[in-house]
Amino acid sequence: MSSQLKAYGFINAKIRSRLGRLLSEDTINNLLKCGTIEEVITSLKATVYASYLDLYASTGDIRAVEFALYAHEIETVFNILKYMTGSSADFVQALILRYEVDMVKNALRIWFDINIRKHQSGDRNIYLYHEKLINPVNLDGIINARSSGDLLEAFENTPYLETVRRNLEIINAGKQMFALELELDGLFYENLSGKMKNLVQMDRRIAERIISVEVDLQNIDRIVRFVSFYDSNTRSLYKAFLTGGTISESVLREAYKQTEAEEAMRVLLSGSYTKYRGFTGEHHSSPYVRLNLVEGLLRQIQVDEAGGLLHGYPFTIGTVIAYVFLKRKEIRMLIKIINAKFYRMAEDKIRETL
Amino acid sequence: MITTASMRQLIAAVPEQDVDDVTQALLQAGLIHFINIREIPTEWALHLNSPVSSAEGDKIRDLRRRLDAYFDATDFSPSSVVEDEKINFRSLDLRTAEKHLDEFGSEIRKVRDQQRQVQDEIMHLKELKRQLPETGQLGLSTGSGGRSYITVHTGSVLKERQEEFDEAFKDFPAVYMPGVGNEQEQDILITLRRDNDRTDTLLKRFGWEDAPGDIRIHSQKEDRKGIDIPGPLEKVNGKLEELKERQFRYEVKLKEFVSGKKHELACFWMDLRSAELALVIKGYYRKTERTYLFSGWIPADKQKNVNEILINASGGRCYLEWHNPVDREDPEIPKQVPVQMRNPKILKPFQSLVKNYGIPVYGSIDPTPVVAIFYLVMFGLMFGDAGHGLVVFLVGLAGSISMKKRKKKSILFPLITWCGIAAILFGVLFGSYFGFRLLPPLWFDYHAVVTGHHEAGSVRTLTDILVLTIYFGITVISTGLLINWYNHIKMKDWTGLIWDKGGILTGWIYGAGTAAAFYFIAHEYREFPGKLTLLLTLGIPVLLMGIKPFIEIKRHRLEHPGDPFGKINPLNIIMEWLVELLEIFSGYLSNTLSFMRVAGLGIAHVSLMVAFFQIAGMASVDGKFTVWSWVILIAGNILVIGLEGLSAGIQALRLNYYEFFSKYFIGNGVAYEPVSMRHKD
Repeated sequence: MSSQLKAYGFINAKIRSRLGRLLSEDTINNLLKCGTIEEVITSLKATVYASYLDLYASTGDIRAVEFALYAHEIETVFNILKYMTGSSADFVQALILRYEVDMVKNALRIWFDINIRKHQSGDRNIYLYHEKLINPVNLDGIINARSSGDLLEAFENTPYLETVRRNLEIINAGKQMFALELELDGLFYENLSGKMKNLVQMDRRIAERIISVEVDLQNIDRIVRFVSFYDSNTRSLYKAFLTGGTISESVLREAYKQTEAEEAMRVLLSGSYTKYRGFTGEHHSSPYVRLNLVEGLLRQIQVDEAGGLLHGYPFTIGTVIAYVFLKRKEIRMLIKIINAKFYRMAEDKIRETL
Repeated sequence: MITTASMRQLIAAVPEQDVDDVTQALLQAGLIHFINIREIPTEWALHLNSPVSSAEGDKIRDLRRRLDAYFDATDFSPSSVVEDEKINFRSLDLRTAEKHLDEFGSEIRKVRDQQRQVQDEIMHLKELKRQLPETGQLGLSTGSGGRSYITVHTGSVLKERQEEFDEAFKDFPAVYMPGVGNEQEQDILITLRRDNDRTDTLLKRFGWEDAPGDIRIHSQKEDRKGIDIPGPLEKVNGKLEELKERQFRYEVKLKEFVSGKKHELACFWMDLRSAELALVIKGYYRKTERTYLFSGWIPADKQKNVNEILINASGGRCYLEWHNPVDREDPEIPKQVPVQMRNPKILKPFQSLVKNYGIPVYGSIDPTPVVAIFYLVMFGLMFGDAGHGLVVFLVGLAGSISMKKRKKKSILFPLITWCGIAAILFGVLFGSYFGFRLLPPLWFDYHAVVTGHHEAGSVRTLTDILVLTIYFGITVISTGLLINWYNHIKMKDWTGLIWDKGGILTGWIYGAGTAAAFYFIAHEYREFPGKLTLLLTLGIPVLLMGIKPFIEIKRHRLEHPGDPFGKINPLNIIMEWLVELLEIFSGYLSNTLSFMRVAGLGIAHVSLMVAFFQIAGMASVDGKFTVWSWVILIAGNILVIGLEGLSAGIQALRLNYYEFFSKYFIGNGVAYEPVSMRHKD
């Protein structure tokens, strides 16, 4: 216990003080009520996000704001990492890998658009995060690769090399990136799961619980998406789900076989998530509306889990995970609101997506 | 100033034909703290309807907020117009207002779009810059050749198409340098490798001709006319600077655009705001068939004024009823009356400290002046140095002036200024000036007491300082008790006056206990006062406290007949009595001893200065301070001012909140917030 106190005493105090700086429900409601992006900036003037939103005044570009917020999110996790040591530091570092995987996926999408789909790169690469996080990924190398050899060269000395090599043929033949993206996500969870095993027992239990929920949510989201948008033949080409969640593989397979999204949801929520089952069954609307509903449900489950972590014994990895999750959720929500306000979306429509 | 302002309740009825004039007059006066007429405990009030829909108000508020956000980009606050101008009530067509704002917004968007285009160019160039070597040469092969992720093209386009050619490459990372290549003055074009397809298309379109032979380009190269021709990196940097300048000009342009329309927009804002607030006021009205009813609270000294305003606005066609809250017997009434704290402007920082804790209940003492005195004395005792005080004073003053210039209200800086003054005064009393004894102390030499060199006067040892702060604590707590008794008398709460935790019996016990403690100390910790004295001074109030549970049960029975709580359980009563006594004894003892922190921080302040003087002494030569000694002293003073200033400020606040306020303060009052143009959301 004393070692836990020593390991998490300082970071716990630091995080607790930062939790108070998360946006309140009132502020979020105010943001949603704002009519213009200028009002959003005014509403956030007294928050930690003020300086990031000021970028809109100097650039007129919401992508600059978005990018700064994304960089702030990554910086937040690195700041936490600074105060951690040993296996818990390794675990937080493994969490950072999520951002690296996202960066790699974004760069690959640009490469794919230019080289396989023969589209112009557009401006998506303008705000690509280039800082080195964990592995020496050459993002410029990926985007500018003109051949498969160039692409593989950009991944040299990274754990992604083999995954990319394995998928190159499928990408070139199938002209899509799903399989590779799914595998990259799998790589992240695999690495995370490895680091989780090294945590002390109490931390491991907490981390396993929250990560398994996340894996479940990823699986539910993917399966519902696939069932909604693809026929069974197309689906059979992909291994859509991750391992490590609480939903058994047989249930995942069963759900994946369904032809209707509602049915797939019913199967998926039959185990650990029965209390959320009332959510399905009545929404025979478009797949997009259904997906929105599912995403709303998944977000609710995550919020419940993170909230629970903050109420338990404080000197564990739980506080760190909960803060990282809440901060991530807040920044994602903020980015959505800023975009929605920029494109003049109505308040109720924005609420549906949050 | 001593108690909260006396208030009057108005219940008014005005005929429908005068309702707009009355509303405008009320908003212009800005004196009524409206209450929902349904809160008036009468049967009929519940059956009245509101005359306004909330949708209209929401729409107006949204439009006004949009305007606020545009103003936010400038340093101008539209609400400042309120101070100078009379409200001009004009009829507001919401559609036109919205259209007007949309037009304004679209003008802003146009500039934003231009900003975004420039931003795109900046980001493109930054991306290209990342690929260019920071120093040295950019090696080129014949014609078009690739290096890293850039492709360098050498060749030429027709001179008359060069500008158009440059413009065509604006949409992706590229730098075009006409006529800088080799002796043949070839053009150089650098793009990213991923854009090769797009580049080739453009090159074809412009009839680009690749240059023959091998050329090399230098970071800085002089052409034959002897003029510097920038290399690619310099070219990119130059272009970046130019774009950033353009970006800045757009930002300024936008601010100027809003500022240029400042007056027009401020008038528009006033129209929206007055319409919004008129609807807020109307939201409190309740409608009968032909009349409108409303109610609210007004400071008693404004009653005549409001009376006149309403009669004038309605042409005498109104019915006004005024009530004094103290005429009502209901003990809950004071909690519903809004509270106006009236203190001189110089005491506003301390009023904010009180408000931060809670709004005092109506009719009770407004402790602001007492808090000001206690807070400053505590701060001065903990931070008594005239030099340090001067620095704090100047910081506070500079901050206040800066905030005033920016038309922002600040409570912190005036408070810091006050703290500076207190520290200067106590510094003079202690004869401490940045730790030096420049002048003899008017009271006692704090430094000498801490270092053990003080031999004369009433305060000679550290114990004397501790005792001094205990006396001070007793004064603070006793003042709290006296205020509490006054509040109970004012509210005619006689039971509370005697048996409350800060009531007369508690005060009696505290006084007797304190006297007994001092007697014990005076007799070298060997003797207590006589048994009879103790029995009379402590025993009687302790026994009288035992009556409290009976009184509470009796009161409860009257208020809630049949409730099981009303049954007498002797064991419960004894336990309650004992716990109450324990709370009084331990609570008041710890409250009093808590004031020793004032001595603790004062001693720490001096000790730190002494320590820095000793360190500075170590750096001296032949007993004379060197430059290093002074550097140490200056750094030490800065540290002490920052560290101790903050600690003293926080501790003084803590002592006020927990040791002083807890004795009397009932902080569940409602703040007086009249609907006026200065009203905040």
